[in-house]
Amino acid sequence: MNQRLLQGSLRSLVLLYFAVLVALPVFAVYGKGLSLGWEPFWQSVTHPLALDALWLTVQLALLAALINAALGTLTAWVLVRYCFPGRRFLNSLVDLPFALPTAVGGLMILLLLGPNSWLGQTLTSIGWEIVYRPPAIVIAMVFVTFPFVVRNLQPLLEELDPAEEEASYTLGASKALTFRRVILPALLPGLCGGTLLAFSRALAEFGAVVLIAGNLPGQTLVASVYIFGQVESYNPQAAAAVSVVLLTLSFLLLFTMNALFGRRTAR
Amino acid sequence: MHHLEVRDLNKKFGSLQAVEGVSFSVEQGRLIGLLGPSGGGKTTLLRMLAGLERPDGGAISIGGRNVDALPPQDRGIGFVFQNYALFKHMTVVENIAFGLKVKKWERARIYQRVAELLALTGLIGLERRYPHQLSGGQRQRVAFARALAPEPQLLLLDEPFAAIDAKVRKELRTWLKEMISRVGVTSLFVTHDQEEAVEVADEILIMSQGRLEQKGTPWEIYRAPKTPFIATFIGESTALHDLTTLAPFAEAAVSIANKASLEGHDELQAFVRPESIEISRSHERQPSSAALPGVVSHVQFRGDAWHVEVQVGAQRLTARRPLAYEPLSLGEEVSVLVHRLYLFAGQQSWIVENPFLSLQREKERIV
Repeated sequence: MNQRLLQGSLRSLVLLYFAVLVALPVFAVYGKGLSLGWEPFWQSVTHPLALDALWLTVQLALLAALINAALGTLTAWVLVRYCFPGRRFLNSLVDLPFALPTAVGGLMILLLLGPNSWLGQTLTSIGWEIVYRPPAIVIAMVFVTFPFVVRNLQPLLEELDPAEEEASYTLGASKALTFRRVILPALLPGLCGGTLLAFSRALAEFGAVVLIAGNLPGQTLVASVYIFGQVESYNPQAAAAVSVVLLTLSFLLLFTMNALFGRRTAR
Repeated sequence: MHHLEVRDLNKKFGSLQAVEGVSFSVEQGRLIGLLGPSGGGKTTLLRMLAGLERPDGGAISIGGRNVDALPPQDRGIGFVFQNYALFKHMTVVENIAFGLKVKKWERARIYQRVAELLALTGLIGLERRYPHQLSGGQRQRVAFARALAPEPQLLLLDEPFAAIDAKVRKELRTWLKEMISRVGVTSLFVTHDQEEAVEVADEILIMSQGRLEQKGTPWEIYRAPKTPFIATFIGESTALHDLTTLAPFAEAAVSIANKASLEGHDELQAFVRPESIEISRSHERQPSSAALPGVVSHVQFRGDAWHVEVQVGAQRLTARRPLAYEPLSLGEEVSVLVHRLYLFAGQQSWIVENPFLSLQREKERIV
């Protein structure tokens, strides 16, 4: 009886927590975005500057996610498969972008590549302008979302049976073919999941981006900074409208991911 | 012409000598059991044959071709792993076809070969299943079919029955032996189970502590074990502490001990097998000078026979008694007839038959 009471109250607590911290704010954003009706919502979203910001964000976030898919796979592979001094330290360093305020991440990129830095000046002199341009935004997004792919792949890589690879070799497959046909399919759920999460997170990145993007409307203004700008200029409905787009996109991604891979993990 | 030839193979892992100076050859189409205790270097040897492990020294040739410099991909071998290592995300058919696709066979030929193997291994109806939807025995069949698909010259199996429960294991042993003889591929399998090796293999290689102890047919090895290790490993054997307790053998033992000490070996080891000991009640057999008096000290039912321990003088012997006979009781006085004894000194071994018994047979023949 006591057991049941405990279970019941625990369940209610979780539901309450979820309602207050996740569901209610989400509904509030949807409510605000659509508060003046469908027409103003549509106008806010299709405003040229809003559209530019959304489109730029999606493009750059996609690029950042793809870069992390490759970079993260490589990192996870090296961390799991190779033994070298400093491996554990490096492994704990992977989580740094999560632990750090993202603004600090932005500042680090600014200090490293900004106009006053040695590296930034050298790159500018050969015609590579990075800070205050889209490449800086991608770098910031890659930095902030770096742990997703790595942490999603590591357990899968550890679980991989080395005998499966050896079986592939004895059947005549080269190392490259073995990676493509045997290892990659086993990693795919983690790779896709991690990449989608990275994409979703990159869409929403604010702190790191705002410091280094330059925030020129129509050129380097990403959606999150656009939302910030709208709130600052007393236009909460437009801010909410763009938020609704981002939120819906994130939801769709999460649902797709669950539909694709949820069943596998449930097995 | 030997199909597989191994010369002086060596492998060290750190300070552990896993394989030491192993040389042997195998004829085409033979099924060889690589037997020995765990950690004896069997799997390392098998992996070196496959090219999955690089030997420190020695030479391997398969089908008359030296393969030392070849990677596993080019050795023309099939390997069945202990846990089968099936590709988890591929169906049964995809697993079997993998090696053929890699070798760029034509589609029609792949289809035909896979169908052939499915029929051969009795996997028809399971084509679309994934490994996690198969039983242990079915997985082993898939692993076997997958390894055989590209028509290897040499099939290597690492503890092929270890992961299967005891009941199915016996069935699979017979199945595998039959299958390999039907396909005609030269095969080597690793096992630590002597019963398995004896039952399945045409020939057995016994390895212990990285060395090859003996090679021969199961019967040869059972009949004439070359080292004390093999005598204790194949079949149950009892070590004899004091040869003088076994009066009928005393004379022969002394002469062998003398011979051995002349050659510089002073330690003579003697073993006797339970199968070569007959235990009977005094009324069951005529008294003879070949037999010894003993006292039953332990009786246990072992499914197919009575497992009996008898005390003869200071020596305790283990013997079997057929179920057809009346069970013995503890403390009972019995007559113990030892048929033969195995003696070892240094590298030499002798089998000594009970001299009184042969004398007795001689007499019976004359009468």
